[in-house]
Amino acid sequence: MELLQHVAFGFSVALEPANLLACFVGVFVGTLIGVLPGIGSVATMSLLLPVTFAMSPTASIIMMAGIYYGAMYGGSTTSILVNIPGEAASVVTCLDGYQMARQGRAGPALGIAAFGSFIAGTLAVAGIMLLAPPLARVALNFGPPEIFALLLIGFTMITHLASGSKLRAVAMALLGLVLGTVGLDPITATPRFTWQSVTLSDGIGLVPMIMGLFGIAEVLLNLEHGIKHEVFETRIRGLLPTRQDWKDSAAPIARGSVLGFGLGILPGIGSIIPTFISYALEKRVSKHPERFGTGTIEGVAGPEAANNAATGGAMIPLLTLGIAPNVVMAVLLGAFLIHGVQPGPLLIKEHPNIFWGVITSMYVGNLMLLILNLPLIGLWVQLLKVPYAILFPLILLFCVIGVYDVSGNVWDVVIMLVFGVVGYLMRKLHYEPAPLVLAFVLGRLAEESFRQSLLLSRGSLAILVERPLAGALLGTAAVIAVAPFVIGRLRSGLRALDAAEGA
Amino acid sequence: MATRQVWAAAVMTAVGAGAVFEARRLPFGSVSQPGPGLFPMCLAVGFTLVSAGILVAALRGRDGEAPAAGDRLARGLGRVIATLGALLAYAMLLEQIGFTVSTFLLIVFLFRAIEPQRWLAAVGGAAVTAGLSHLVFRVWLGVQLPSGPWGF
Repeated sequence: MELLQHVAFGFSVALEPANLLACFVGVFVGTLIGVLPGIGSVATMSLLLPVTFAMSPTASIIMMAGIYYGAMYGGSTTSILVNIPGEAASVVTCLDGYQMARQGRAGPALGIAAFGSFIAGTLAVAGIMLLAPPLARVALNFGPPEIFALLLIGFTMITHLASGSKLRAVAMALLGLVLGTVGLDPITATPRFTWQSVTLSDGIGLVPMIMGLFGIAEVLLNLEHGIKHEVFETRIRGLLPTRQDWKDSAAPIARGSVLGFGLGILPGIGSIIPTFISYALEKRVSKHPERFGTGTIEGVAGPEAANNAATGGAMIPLLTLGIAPNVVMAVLLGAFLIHGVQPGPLLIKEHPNIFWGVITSMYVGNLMLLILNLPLIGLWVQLLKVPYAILFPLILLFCVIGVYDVSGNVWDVVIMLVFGVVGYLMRKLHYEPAPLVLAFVLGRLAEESFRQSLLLSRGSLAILVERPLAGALLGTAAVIAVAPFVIGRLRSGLRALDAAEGA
Repeated sequence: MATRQVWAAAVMTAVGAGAVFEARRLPFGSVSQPGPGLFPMCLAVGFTLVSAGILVAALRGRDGEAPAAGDRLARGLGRVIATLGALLAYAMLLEQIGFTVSTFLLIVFLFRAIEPQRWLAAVGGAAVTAGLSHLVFRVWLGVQLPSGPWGF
């Protein structure tokens, strides 16, 4: 019953007044920006990063994590009521959620989104508690070669899972890797690509890059197209789903939770892809797939559970290996490092209050969100009526303040603007920013671990395959790299076989 | 659209080639004893090759994209450029005339020029925004923001 003790300890940390407040602020802000289209959790977390300087590490991480899963709750509200995803991860919720709202069932749609998220969030927390400690024990044996092999797995995932063109995703990942080498070389401190600039010799900052690519770029796109949205004008009644709704949603929520959690653990996935897979899965197993897209509650319950469970799954690689599996976790990693805490296998032992406190706070936060969301829906609806003309100058201002605050360097603001333009053009030309940022973050670590491995082995590359764990991981990376092509071949082969048999 | 894709890929290839050129000046070392230049060089070469691949595909018109709606967006583009210009000017003014005054000017401009509001609303809104952000960020959160010659 060691686990129960840990959980009790976690709750004692999470329920300290300061941490409880941090959790509340996090989930509240998260819901707020989740509701508002055009500002995402990545930009908000980077923005609030400097604000956490004055807080304890535990409270900071609790707040940051709260923003992430809070945004998942808020995003669905906008999807259902306005048919615009408040967060990228609630795109799928628009399909059936908005149709439900049009049929006067906005209440149950919002209700099942909140309950589904809560159930998935709870299951995910339980999953982290069970999986993270044993994983961390395995990870204790990791040296530079294992880390490098693990990062290779991450790189192959990033490019495979991009939703658009693979080649473009590879190009963006490589660009991110090149940008990651700007600054002083990690082993010998030789300046690279700095052109004698003091700002650049510190490397390109993660915060200016993310705020530019995600914050500024988003505003520019919205300004160009002119955001017009109409809030669904209807009295929202009966948030509690009926018995029939529950019967329809129970299985999708369960499947969505497992799917989201499992996929969320894998590097490069994030919380968007699980929602698409969950929707496709529900449609496939449904007895009436033709009703999907016309306002069926399963189409809301499954994906909403999946995106929330994915946020929990994504915590595992960060907490046990110190590797950020998606962009949001990269910002969270930044928050850890700012406070001088290195997440990784030693976290549980060295900072048990952070590890168990943060995990249990996620349960507390999910409970807060459920309580917060159901009665406050009216408030969020009002918020959606604030015109974008008033909102966008504030978003831009917050981006500038956030970036300036991290370094006190005006040139970082300029770097943010440059990435704003780059991100804007990328979005217009159908290049995705996520592989770039993720590769940027993982790249520095990859170079360092590769070169450290070679220092360990005195220049023999064999170290990468001779150590059993590293070899196994490297093999996995190779399998993941070639698997889609092999599967594709097999499929077309089978199809040809089917056609031949049918003839 | 096709030409825009060609241009984008061409720029990427050029940036990649530039990075290769710069990386040549760093000591490469060897694969078993990597110098500071090994990673930048390999990555830059990779980026250039992949970009060139995208360029070739775009030139052949095989990127499989539907052509976008014409220049309906020209007015929108003006808003984008004006906003960027304003932000750049803001960054440059920030340390000269201080956070509070430059924020006021930025917000007045954005309220008036991008999505026009009435003058009174724009100036009033900007004054409130500058005042509140001064109080919240500088006074309450203790963020180090630049002051102008007048101390705020």
